[in-house]
Amino acid sequence: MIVRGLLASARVQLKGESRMSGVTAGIVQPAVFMTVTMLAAGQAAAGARTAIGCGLLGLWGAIVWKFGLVLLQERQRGILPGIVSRPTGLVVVLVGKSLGAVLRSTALTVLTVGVVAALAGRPVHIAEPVTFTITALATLVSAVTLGLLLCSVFLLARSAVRIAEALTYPVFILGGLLVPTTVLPDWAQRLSTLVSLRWAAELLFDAAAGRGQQPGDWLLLLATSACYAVVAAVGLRVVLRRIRAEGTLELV
Amino acid sequence: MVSALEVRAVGRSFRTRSGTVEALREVTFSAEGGEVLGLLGLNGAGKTTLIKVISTLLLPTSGSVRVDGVDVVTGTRQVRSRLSVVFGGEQGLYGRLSGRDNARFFGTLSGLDHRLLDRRAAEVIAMVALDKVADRPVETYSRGMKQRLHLAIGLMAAPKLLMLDEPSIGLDPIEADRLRRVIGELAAGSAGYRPCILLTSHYLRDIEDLADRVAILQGGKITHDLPLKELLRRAGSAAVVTVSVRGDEPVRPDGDAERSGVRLVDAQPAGAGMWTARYEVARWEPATLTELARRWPHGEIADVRVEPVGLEQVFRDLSEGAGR
Ligand SMILES: Nc1ncnc2c1ncn2[C@@H]1O[C@H](COP(=O)(O)OP(=O)(O)O)[C@@H](O)[C@H]1O
Ligand SMILES: [Mg+2]
Repeated sequence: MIVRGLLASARVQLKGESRMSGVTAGIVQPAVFMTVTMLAAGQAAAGARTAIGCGLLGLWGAIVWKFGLVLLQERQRGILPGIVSRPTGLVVVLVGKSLGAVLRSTALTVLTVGVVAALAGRPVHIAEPVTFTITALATLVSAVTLGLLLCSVFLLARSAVRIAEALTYPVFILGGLLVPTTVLPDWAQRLSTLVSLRWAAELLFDAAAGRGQQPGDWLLLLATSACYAVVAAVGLRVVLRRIRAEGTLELV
Repeated sequence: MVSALEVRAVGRSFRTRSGTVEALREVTFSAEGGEVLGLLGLNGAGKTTLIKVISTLLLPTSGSVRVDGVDVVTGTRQVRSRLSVVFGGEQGLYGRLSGRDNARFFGTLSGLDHRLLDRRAAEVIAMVALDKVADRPVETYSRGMKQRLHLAIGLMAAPKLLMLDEPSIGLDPIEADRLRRVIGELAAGSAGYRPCILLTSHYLRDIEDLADRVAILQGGKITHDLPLKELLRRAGSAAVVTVSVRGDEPVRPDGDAERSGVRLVDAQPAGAGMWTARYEVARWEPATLTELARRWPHGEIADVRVEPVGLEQVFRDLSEGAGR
């Protein structure tokens, strides 16, 4: 029931989205980031590093926006009662729909990043493709746990999009996606330990460069993601219960 | 045998800035499979709140609800797979998707096996007569079509309990009639079984053709729970008819006013050879017009206006009846 619910939700999301919806987040934004970074850093910028950084930016941006927007849209359309009153449940639908949107947007991002790098005469070289792919999948799962965590916040707060806006850039920085974390002040570096994307980025950089991954990075990626997942599960349960008790979410 | 729906002493209050609102108080009733129960109440009486409590969208503050024997609080998921709820209005559908895709999606969420999905979607769409438009985007549907689609979606998983909250709200009379006909067929078993149907409205007209039994909700309390026939008998007239007649003085009401269901309230000359007369009628039907014409053998009826009696009047009639 869960798998079918996820698939059906993703399909409905992709069928219902307008064709333009992935363009800004999936094409324009990463293309601009890529170009700016390469221009700023000149020949010194390692091709793969820039590309991975931009890819992760795209993924994280998509997670925040899609998880927030999907919830908002379902609420505006008055679809939440129809979902909540069915046995599959709200979480499965939100994850399925958001994930569908995120995957499309991320696929566009990866494509854009590849094309821009190739056009700039610095095609991305991945030294360990198998390790890289496995790491990328783990990154995706980790990003979804973070998306779920956001979902419980979004369910509580009416201004989901405001929150999404506020969260996008701090995580870019803390995750070391724009600049290496080593240039951050001490407190920020400590804070960035909690950001799973930071560890995902390190692992991806290593796999692309072929210099062997640090087991410690894997441990931290899994640990942070597991924490997100647990907090998200508890949070969603509490929030959904509270909504039912207080009648705060305008379902109808 | 367990009841399809059992509501026991349910209370529900909301905390608001200006204090506590008690939307439901000690609500108790039950309904069986194959029965159509009409829930009648003015705006703000608590109908939607009650439907939300039963459909697991709101927790009851006190009391208990069982659907097919399962408690809504402790057996939430099982309850959700046994009931469907349809809220009035145009909301709640994916406009860019076709009616069929909407039905398939919500059917999946109801736990329907994917092998059954297509067949079941086609069945329920035919049941509500949307076959011709099933593959068009829902945003091109009329209000009435959307409401019938809601009903079809509600039937996807063949629920034991089907709840319709003000289904004809915002529909024109023809569309409302059409929807009522579909609900009537459902009650008679067109879906292959006879679900328990709970139907809410703030118009008597909406449920008088459909309900077997009527519960009346006033200020969050059930004040009456009686068979429809009993309600119609005690509620007095269904409509006030005003006729303008060119010609004679009216024929005075004769002995069979009771039987014909048409009672003269007053008749006054309106000048220029016209008369205006008001009648209370028990039911507005084609025969009523014939009966009115019979009362004016030498006159010509120029105009007829029918005003359905409001629920307030029905409630007044009922409580007067109780006092008598
Ligand atoms: N979420 C809520 N918060 C506060 N008051 C509410 C809420 N939902 C309903 N009410 C109040 O409960 C009462 C019953 O409302 P409702 O069930 O919608 O009535 P009906 O559907 O019969 O028109 C009304 O006074 C309404 O203002
Ligand atoms: Mg209502």
